[in-house]
Amino acid sequence: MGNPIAEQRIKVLLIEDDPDCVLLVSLHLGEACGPNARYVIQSAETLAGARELLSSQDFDVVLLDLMLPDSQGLDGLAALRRQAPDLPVVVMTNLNDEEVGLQAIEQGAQDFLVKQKIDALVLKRAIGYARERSHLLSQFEGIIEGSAEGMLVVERTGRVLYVNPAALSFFGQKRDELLNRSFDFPLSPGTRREIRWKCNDAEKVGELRVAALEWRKDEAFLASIHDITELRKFEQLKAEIKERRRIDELKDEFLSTVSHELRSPLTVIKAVVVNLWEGLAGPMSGPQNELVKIAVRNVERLARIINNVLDISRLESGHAQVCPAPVDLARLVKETVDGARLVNTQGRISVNLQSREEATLVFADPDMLSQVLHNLLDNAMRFAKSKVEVSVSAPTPDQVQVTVIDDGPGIPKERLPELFDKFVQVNRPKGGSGYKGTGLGLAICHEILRLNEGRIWVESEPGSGTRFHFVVPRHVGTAAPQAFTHGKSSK
Amino acid sequence: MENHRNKKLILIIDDEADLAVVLAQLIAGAGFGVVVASDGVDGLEKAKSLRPDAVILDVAMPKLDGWGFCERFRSDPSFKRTPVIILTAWLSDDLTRKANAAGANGIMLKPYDEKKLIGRLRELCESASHNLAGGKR
Repeated sequence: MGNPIAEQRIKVLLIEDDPDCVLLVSLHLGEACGPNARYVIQSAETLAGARELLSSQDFDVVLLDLMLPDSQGLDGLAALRRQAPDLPVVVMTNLNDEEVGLQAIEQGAQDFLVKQKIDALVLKRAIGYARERSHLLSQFEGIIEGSAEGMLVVERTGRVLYVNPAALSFFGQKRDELLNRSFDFPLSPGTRREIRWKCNDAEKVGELRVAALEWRKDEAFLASIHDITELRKFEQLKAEIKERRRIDELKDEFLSTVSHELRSPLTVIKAVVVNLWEGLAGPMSGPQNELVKIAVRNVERLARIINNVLDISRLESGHAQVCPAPVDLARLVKETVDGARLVNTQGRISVNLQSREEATLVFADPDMLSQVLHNLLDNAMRFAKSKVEVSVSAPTPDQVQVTVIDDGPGIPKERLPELFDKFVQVNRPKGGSGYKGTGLGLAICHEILRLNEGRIWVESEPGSGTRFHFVVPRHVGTAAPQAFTHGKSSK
Repeated sequence: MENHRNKKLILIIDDEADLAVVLAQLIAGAGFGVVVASDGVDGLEKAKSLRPDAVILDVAMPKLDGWGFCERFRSDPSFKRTPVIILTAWLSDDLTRKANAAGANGIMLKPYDEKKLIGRLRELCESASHNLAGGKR
């Protein structure tokens, strides 16, 4: 990148009422060179004239006489700085006015020249330096003004002397609401701390760092503020997520532990009563046998309740792992029905299986499906008067449906909507010795089918039995059905 | 030498002493010989000295748990084919997969179904002795 100052023509605004001086400057800057001249000079005899020129044209530098007909001393400089703050100004003074020249520099002039000592070199160098300094200054100012980091210069007394746009946006205030006001946060060099600020009902968090700074010859502080509001929010969110996960894990662990702690003694009790019942501890009398039978039945029920409560919590928590695989639904139904026939030893209820469908390969978790079938069949057998019918069909090309029908008492219409809710039991069979449900079986079926992209529904009328239907997506592809897995026992 | 016993010997490994007693009674009642160990380490020692025909194994145990037992048990070539049934009260989703990976032949959740347990035990013992008779190395 070439030096821009060396290559461009430099437009000079000369504000001078003395024609001799105007001529002198023109000569020194070699304007006589014509179109190839490096400097282009426009002159004004009054401050008013100069300001008019400034409002219509761009200049690179101003040469300002401090003794003008309409302006004396530093007022002219101040007026120019107000109109064109970024324009470098070199003031020209008389031989005895060096003090004024120095004051001009303090008030923003880039340099001063004593008229009587001007020569070409001095003039060109002053203009060159003035432009370069002003250029550098505006570059730094641009960096500070454009920085995302909030910056304030604060007097020792706490008064704000400078504030950049990022700081204004952090505090949500306008420049004049902060400038020359007192800064609310205590400052000492080397400080690095978090500050909080209420801004339009939202709290902002910033990291404040303080450094010592000299500002116009006085000691001051540079306070820089890094906005960490979003970072803090993100960290808080992360912490909340972590906490939620921890609570979930605790809950899972709790469930798992409770499960283990409940099952272990239950296992022993069940083993004891079963051994007694089986006569492994010697023969028992009829009444003894009857009591032990009741104990067995209730221990089994307790085991079922524990399993169901754990199942539903696991399914609802979203932690249950669904492992879908191709399953031959008709075969699974047949296995479950065969199992139910075995349990139904009294033969009071007949179970008919109808499969109108050849291709019944579905894609679902086999253990879960087996649990649904088991629960539905179990329910049907519990409520049926004399028969249960199970059928497999395909209502649509991409679904396989299972229907379980019983000829039991049916369910009143108003109870149907809540049937798949937890702990709902409708028309529970009366009497002391009957098999009792847990009120969770259908809720479990509902959750399982939801997780396997299926659906379950019920049709029933009091006096004419109940029909449960569920559908699961048909398997698309060529993988062979999964071999029978040893499911969890005592479900 | 295990072939010379007139009863199949079942090793029960469970730290729950009460259950071990009742389970032993059930299994003995079904016509098996029974020996009980109280943890995985004890189980390995008894397995080595008594050469059981099958193992019924708990999971959560002090010293050496069921998974650790399976790993060491299976790493002994002479126990490669000895049936192992895991009985556990811990419920987790990948239990079946874990049991398969550990080289167990079956897994049942406590409280187990007594008839199913005995049935599975008979089945496994029979097929194991069948393999032994048929597949001489």
